[in-house]
Amino acid sequence: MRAVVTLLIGAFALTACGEPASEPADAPAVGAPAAPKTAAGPSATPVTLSEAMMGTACRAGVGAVYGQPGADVTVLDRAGSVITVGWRAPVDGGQLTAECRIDGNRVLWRPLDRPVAGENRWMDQPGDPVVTYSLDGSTLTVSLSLPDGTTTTTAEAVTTEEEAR
Amino acid sequence: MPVAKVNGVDVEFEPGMTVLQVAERAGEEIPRFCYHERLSIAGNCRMCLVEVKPGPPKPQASCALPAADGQEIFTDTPMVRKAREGVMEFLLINHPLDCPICDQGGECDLQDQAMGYGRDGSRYAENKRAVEEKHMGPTIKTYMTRCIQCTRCVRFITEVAGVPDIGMISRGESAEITTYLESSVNSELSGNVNDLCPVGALTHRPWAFHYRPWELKKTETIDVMDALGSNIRADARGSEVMRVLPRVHEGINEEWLSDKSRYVVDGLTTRRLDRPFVRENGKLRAASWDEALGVVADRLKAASADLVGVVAGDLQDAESMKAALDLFRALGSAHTDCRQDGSPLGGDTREGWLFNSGLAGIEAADAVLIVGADPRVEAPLLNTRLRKIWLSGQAEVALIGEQVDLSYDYNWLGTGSKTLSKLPKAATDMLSRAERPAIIVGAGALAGETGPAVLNALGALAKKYGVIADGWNGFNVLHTAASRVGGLDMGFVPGEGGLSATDMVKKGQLDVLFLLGADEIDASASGAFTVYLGSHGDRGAHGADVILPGAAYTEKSGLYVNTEGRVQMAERVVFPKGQAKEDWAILRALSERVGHTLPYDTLDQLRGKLMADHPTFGRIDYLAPAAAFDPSKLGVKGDLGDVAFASPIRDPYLSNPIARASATMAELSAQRIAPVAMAAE
Repeated sequence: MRAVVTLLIGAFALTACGEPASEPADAPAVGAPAAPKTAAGPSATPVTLSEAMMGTACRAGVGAVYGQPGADVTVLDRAGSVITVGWRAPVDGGQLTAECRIDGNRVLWRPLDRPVAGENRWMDQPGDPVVTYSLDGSTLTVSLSLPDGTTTTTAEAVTTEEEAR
Repeated sequence: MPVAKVNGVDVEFEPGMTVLQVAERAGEEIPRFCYHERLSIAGNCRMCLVEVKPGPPKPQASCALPAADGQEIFTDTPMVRKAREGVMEFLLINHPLDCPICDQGGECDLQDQAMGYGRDGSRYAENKRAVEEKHMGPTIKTYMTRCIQCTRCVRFITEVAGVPDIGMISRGESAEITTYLESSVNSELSGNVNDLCPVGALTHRPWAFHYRPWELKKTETIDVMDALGSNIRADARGSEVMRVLPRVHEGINEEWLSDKSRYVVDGLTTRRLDRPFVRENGKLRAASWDEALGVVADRLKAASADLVGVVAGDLQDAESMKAALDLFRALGSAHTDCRQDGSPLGGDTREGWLFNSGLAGIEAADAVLIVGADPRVEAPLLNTRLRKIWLSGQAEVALIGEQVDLSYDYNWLGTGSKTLSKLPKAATDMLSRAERPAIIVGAGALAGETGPAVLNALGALAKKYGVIADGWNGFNVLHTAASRVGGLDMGFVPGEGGLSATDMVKKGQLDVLFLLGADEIDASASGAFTVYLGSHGDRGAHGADVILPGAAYTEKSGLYVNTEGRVQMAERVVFPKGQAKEDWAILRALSERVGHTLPYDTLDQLRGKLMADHPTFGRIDYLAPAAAFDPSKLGVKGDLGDVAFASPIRDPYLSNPIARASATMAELSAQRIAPVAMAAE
């Protein structure tokens, strides 16, 4: 009897000390990982971007992934909704390229230069880094969430000239 | 010519020479730390002090003093000796006495010169200075307390590499060498600063604490990581190549070496194929040589002659290609190709696929049009020469292709064939006013269906603007593979009715496909019985039905022809791994089993046959003066289309099986992509 009482008290104490039950997370769409919430908080309702702004979002998004300032990434080509961007390789100045497209508030990209063909795929699988953007007036905020939970946010002002690029 | 007296001996010299150079011409050895023949003069170490008359009654830095007619130079007077001993004592004030644990120990300028000018004890009783280590990237290990601030590294990286990533900050005792914001040195030539460092402040990070220099067996050989054929010395301990250093060759690499050529050696010990394999029930299993060769021979004998073919890889020596070519021709096959990239080069005119001006000769050009090449990535040591002529203001450079950072300014004309079909005025003006114009054609321009038309258009352009004139041939093809020119020279291209490499790997084209070290072509769709002969378990081996383990470039003696057409001989540094054999010997053994025994039993006999059939292979290290030819006959006239030219080398650090097996190359590749993407991919 004493043992039963002890167990009950113990269970009660554990419940009281434990973390509150977490609220159910939003269910992600099948095949697409949920964008981690960030401090900047990407807008819940994706804005419709102009073609020029898509290029800006791609430059900033891909730049965030590859450690390049958005200004150093250039739009090389556009084919429908897919934008090819390029930047200079840090070590030898060679050109690195990636394709990019906007999907809702996400910036999706596909590296084009990896020597193993299988690595040149759209980075939209579970475990891939997630890049999201939000537009607040003339400020474009890009958030990069790595699989290890690290999140970095960069914001840049969108000028008229930049939009025209 | 002016004459000076060095220690009482008359020496003629050319105007502009320094006192140090004149003294060296007289056979006197002048100690130095900061002075280097290929860098600008700093004059800050003061070790090269000499006495000069007429002049002030004090020792003078000979590296920075111009020699003059009638000058008297004394290199070994009591005053000079005392001055040098003073300099050495000051240098050793802060230099740690850690030679026994220093990687530079045994090949250190400071250690050597301290033997001549050092004291046996120190008069310095104060605390020594300590300097924090710096992070300079995967190739450079720093121990900055050892630094004597000679600034050789700063000058090399700024002047030769063109990437001013290393500098000196602060003054006096606080002076130190560092990278900006502690970032890596972003240069494909970074390893050269380790060679230049006269002390142990900068050493080779990938080899740190791996060896002592006196333990190593040194072999002079040739690099195959690009098509330049840089002269190298490979140092081995036992069966392992421990390091690769540059040798001086004024016509090719001067005395520099790219990071890829230097640090790829760790890839020689990993992912090696050390025994034959045969695929059985979908899985590869180890087999004996006899069994593996028997399986291949049975397949070759059973297949129709027009359904067998061979593709030669980028790192192959000429002898193995010759043996393969002879074997497949004996089998009756016309399907032979060494051009994995699908280029249209080849034919009768050797000048049509060579870098005709020569690598050193390009320095005579006064206008350079680069088409579809990224010389900084494809041939870093050619790029340093282009940078040199740009720095001197002697040449203009223009580029059609990807807008890359070449470490010097150039006029970017456009991305591809469209620009070539209607050349901008800036380019035509540049070529018209040049006396020695040069065109550098890269593999990026010649790949694909429009390749022959692009080659023809470039030939026509060369003819129109006098790129080939009396005493000058500026039509230059820049190859990316060490084996390519050798292959083209011996006719390792499709015979009459033969398939090209790109066609051979298409579905259903062949019954037996032989990959001779060919890893850069995707043969997965072929469906043919695939034989791979090579050194590494890489792309070629993955899909193979039989694997025949061959020798890597440091494990065999072989001939290579560089992009300018210079034949060079590589030497064996160590023996092949495990049961692996030299490639030509494997092909010789196979030929016996298929009933077409090759007519050579030794490597010498094979070389004799190669040189008899193709005399150019007999002229070792000879650069024939480029003959004039009609470039407009190259390629095929046709529509240039609208194709963007892109270098075939997407990642220079992962462009061949040895590089892909190297941990250091993987690290450099990751740095090239950038850290964030490292985590991402």
